[in-house]
Amino acid sequence: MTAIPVQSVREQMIALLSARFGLEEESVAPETTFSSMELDSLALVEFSIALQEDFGVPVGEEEFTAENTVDEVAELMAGKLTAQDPVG
Amino acid sequence: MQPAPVLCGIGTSLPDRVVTNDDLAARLDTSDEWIRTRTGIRERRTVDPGTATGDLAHAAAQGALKSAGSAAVDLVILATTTPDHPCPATAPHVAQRLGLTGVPAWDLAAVCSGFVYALACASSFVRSGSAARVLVIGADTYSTITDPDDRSTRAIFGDGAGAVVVRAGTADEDGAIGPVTLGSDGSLKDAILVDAGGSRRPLPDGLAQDGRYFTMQGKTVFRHAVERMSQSAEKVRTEAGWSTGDVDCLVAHQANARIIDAVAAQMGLAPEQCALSIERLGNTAAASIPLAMAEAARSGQLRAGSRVLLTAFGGGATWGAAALTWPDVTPVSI
Repeated sequence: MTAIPVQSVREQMIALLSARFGLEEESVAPETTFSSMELDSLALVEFSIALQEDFGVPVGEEEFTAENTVDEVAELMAGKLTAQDPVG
Repeated sequence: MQPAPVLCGIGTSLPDRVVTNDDLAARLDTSDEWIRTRTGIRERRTVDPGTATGDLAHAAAQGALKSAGSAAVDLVILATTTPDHPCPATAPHVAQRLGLTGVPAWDLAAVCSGFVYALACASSFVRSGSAARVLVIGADTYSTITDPDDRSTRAIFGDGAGAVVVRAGTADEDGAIGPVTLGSDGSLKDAILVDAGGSRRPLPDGLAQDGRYFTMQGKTVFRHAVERMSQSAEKVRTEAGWSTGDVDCLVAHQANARIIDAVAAQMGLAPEQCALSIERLGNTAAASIPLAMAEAARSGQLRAGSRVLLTAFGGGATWGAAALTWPDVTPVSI
């Protein structure tokens, strides 16, 4: 099984945060939490739907909270993508 | 040739009483800023005691018949979950007040998807030749079922009614209603709920009122609403043979401005392509789509020939969508 690199997931996630919530990409670092981006609970639900759509794997809003960092969610997504990769 | 359902008149009715966010903040632990950023709502209308859903429905229906230029109707469907009485349905009384005694008339309960469900019924009756002119009304008075002390629902809902006339016509004329889709998922029945007062849990005698008010699981509803509304709207768009670029206007159930934004983003539509009446009216449940359509027509956002997608999600859970071209009509407000 080939592991999906966290870095590429992170870059795609940051682009998504920028497109959906108007955040400057430069303002989002791997250790930035969603609460510090001032995303409220509804925005997190919306983000989980967008992640699901963008990456093509199921993501429930209960899988992360406002106190998680970008990289923690990137790792979660990378794990999901690796697990479903039929080739690796 | 099979007749096509064609929208040919639209009417609206709103209570006079305006409740602003500041009015709510005066008695609830909330603020104008909190409500606006979470919901996009600035104010809503509420009925005074003594005014019922049927009164608003009657007025909106009068407007729709005037807008259609004819009082002829052979079927009345009223979408509501706040009927005048638990029994009987409100629609027959509304029909009688309109001078339509004798025509079939019934209530349809699909919560916030009610208008799309009712429009789907009307379309099917017209397509089958069973009816030639159908009055479809969406009317609700959620101020009568939300808890005055619950900021999360009290801030969201408003009262109002909207109605349209659907007549038999041809598929190529403006106003033609094209593909329609409906769906439901009863596993979400508790997400949008008035727990007591039905046969499963009758309201007890005396003062115990637990469970009588409307409750909503906000995050669960948000997620399912965004997914179901965007999926069903995409389904009818595809069935209509329209590309995303062909869509002129999305009239989504006015649940929450952020749900509408998220649905538009999922579908690749720009925010300015969405009809929005929620800022001034809040979520008017079954009335929200006809009210938003009427407002968009008045502002010029909807013009004759505009390609429109309607989409809704509500308690049940229920959802539905329809594709239509906008007719050359003038909304009438009563």
